[in-house]
Amino acid sequence: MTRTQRVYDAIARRWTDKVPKGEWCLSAGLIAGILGCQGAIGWEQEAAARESLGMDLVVLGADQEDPSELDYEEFRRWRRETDFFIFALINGPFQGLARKMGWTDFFLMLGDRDDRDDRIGEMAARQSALSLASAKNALRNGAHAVLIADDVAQTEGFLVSYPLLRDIFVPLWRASVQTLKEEKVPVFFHSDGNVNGLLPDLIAAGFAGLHSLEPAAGMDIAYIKRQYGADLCLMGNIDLGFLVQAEAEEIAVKVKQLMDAAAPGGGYIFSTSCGCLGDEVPFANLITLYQCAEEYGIYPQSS
Amino acid sequence: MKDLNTEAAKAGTDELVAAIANGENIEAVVLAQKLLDLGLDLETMVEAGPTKALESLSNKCNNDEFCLLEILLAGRAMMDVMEQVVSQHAGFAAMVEAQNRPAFVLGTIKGDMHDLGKNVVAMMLKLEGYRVIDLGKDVEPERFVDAAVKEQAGYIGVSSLITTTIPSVRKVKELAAQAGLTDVKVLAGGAVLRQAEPQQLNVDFVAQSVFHLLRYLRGESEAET
Ligand code: B12
Repeated sequence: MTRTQRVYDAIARRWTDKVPKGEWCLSAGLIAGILGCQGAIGWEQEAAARESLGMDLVVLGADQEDPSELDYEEFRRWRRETDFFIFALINGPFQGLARKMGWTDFFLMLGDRDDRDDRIGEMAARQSALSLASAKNALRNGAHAVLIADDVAQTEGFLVSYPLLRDIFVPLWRASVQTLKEEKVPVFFHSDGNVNGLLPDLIAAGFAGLHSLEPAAGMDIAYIKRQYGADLCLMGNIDLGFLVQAEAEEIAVKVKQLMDAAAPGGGYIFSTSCGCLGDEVPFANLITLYQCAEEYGIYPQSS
Repeated sequence: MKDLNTEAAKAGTDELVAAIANGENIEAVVLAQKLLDLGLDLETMVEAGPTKALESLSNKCNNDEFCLLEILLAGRAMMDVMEQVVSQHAGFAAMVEAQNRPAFVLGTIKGDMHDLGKNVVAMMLKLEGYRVIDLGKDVEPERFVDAAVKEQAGYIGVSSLITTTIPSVRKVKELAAQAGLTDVKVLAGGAVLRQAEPQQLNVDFVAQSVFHLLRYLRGESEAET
């Protein structure tokens, strides 16, 4: 079975041999540690590290102010030389604008919005259209799916009120998903923090999957699986804070629990909840994590 | 009119509190100025207006419901009242002197770029009358201590949202002690740090939120007087 097929099967909740796995980005230091090598870290080393951890996917940044300027060679190369499943990562309108304007100014402008002045809504729509164009380019160059990253929440809940999300951002997400569905690709959503209150909206918008599921922010994957597992493919739920300091035995217990809760019936992709792993993660812990995921993520032949 | 014992002053301060809480910064400035023009003294206006508004926000955001946007908007309204009305007033210098707040060195620790929470803290401390020395983000532990020495600070506030920075956070108090700053309190906060105990971080206090910090500081200044 190819890696790509395994991820497709998980998303479609078809039987597959094991739970697919993967992270967004790995730092050069981490790759060197995993491979036990010194010297320059390039594409080959990253591919080898992902392979040795048993990953099935990569997540490649597709955003560009001017989409025509991005050279999508990275997408083509992963597609040409490997069977990894490729997510094209774009910023959603919330996080995209916040990064551009600065988070505080962005929030203040959202707070000042009213019936007469919806400049922020218009800016968000433009931001969304720009990212969508980037995503389409990535798809043409080999991506299998799109991941819209929009950090709208923190540990206690949404960063802004629910009505603002519902009125401005949910419609933009829905429009992006609908457009991308014409390309027949699955679209995932990512937000850190506690997004429990948004799950029905994400499903109604047509998202195929949800990444992060930050456990420290009250995202209970067992509950979400029971409640929404038929509608959303879940991805993530290993906490970075846990990973950096856990002992091997603790990692094994955690991964087993997670697989028991999330893997049955498919619809789960193993991953940490934070996306990017840096040099501060002990590489031995990451290796242990992925070994455990391999061991506990096997589906029985008969199921 | 020196106090709140008139209908006009009472109604005016209520309006001011509501304007601040709703984040209506332009209205808040006008209302604050009007109260002073009516003859209310500066300190009473600040107490009954911005300070009361801050308290009501603190009660509201204390529970599980967190309201970043409201805090930012109300904070901006309070800031505008302070900058455009209060600090322009003839009695301002005397009021600040009477409060006698120490300098507060603040920053996000090395290895961390998150600064949203730290900026909220800086804003609220300024509103409380502290002289805030904001070192920004990705700040080496040594720089917190150097700034505290230079500014004769009473407090060092360390923000972090990433677990892996904890060893750097732990260093701050140690370096402060080496620099002879035994009276300076080291305080910590931010999404990850607040899950830890003060001993684990080697700090004097871990704040659950900016309002938790303000309550702690009020307790401190009451203990001193
Ligand atoms: C917004 C955000 C970002 C923004 C930051 C924007 C900015 N300018 O700050 C962006 C998108 C840039 C970002 C980047 C990254 N992020 Co980030 N981010 C968040 C998010 C969603 C919200 C954090 C936030 O701003 N909350 C709102 C503020 C107001 O809350 P607060 O900081 O806690 O502050 C309050 C109190 O704690 C207190 N306080 C704060 N500081 C202080 C200081 C003192 C002295 C005191 C007394 C009180 C105090 O006052 C505030 C008001 O009450 C969290 C998710 C979460 N669960 O929190 C992840 C999160 C913090 N990020 C995380 C990570 C890993 C990263 C990245 C490394 C990469 C990534 N996302 O994959 C990079 C960081 C690069 C770096 N080296 O720093 C992880 C950290 C995990 C961990 N356990 O270590 C989190 C938890 C997400 C996750 N999925 O796990 N992030």
